[in-house]
Amino acid sequence: MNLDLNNDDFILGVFAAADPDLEVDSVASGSFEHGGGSVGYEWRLISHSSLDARVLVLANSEDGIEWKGEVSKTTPLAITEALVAPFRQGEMGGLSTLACVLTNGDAAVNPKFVSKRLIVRAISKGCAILGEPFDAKLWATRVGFK
Amino acid sequence: MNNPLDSQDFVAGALAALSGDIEVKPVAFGNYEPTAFQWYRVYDTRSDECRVVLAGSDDATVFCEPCSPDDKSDFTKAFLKTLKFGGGEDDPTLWFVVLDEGGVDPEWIDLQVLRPILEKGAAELGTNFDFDVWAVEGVIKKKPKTGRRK
Repeated sequence: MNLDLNNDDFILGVFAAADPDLEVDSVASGSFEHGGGSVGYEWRLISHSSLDARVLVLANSEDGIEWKGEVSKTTPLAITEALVAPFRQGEMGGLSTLACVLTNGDAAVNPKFVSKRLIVRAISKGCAILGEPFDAKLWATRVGFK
Repeated sequence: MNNPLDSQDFVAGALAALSGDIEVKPVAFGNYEPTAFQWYRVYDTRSDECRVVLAGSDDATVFCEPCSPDDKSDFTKAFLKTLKFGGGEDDPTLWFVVLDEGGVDPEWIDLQVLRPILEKGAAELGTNFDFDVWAVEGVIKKKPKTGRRK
């Protein structure tokens, strides 16, 4: 992750980490294999209670934040829509990229924040594009859904 | 109020602190009415870079000075560059006013460097000031508040 101690906003963010108004929750994680290496990805929901504002952030283990988007509500549906949107729109590769990350062996999903129906549908489409089989029931159990 | 979450740098900073990549330690506190000040040592564990950061309770004052992560003398010199308002840096009177009812953590701040500045500031104001008393009677022992500035 790129850390910039010369950037005022970055420093303010560092201090905000101790602010009880700021909450950070892990939403989902996985990894992407490429060129013999592996890059870890994690989606985090960052909420500011007193401002009633929240964003979903996708960070990777190499370069830091790759994508950030607003989340309208704290419902699993709204959060999952925000998670899927950049992949569906091609902003972050296609749904096949999402499927690669979230079907990897180390993938995990926080069912408190993710809609099982919506994410399974997105991964199914991604796997179909890749021509890969996808056992939704098995996958859901493995990543953390009941 | 602007939404800080709009800033990717802000979010990156919060995540870096939560992950432990950035360490934040309070090293001093003081006030210049009506603004309370906190100084922090902000250390990037991955790059070994370090800053003395002054944060004001008005949320508008943030000054950063590069410093050595482990050389107390260098750290203290950087600390003394952070008061850049009013009389400017190296203004002994300003430092005396700000720190008179404040405190510093001697683990990070070199008292021998600070002593002549506070004594000079007090003298310029015509105030009786005994650095050793200031140091012993709770001020330095009283650690800067932990947690977030408010």
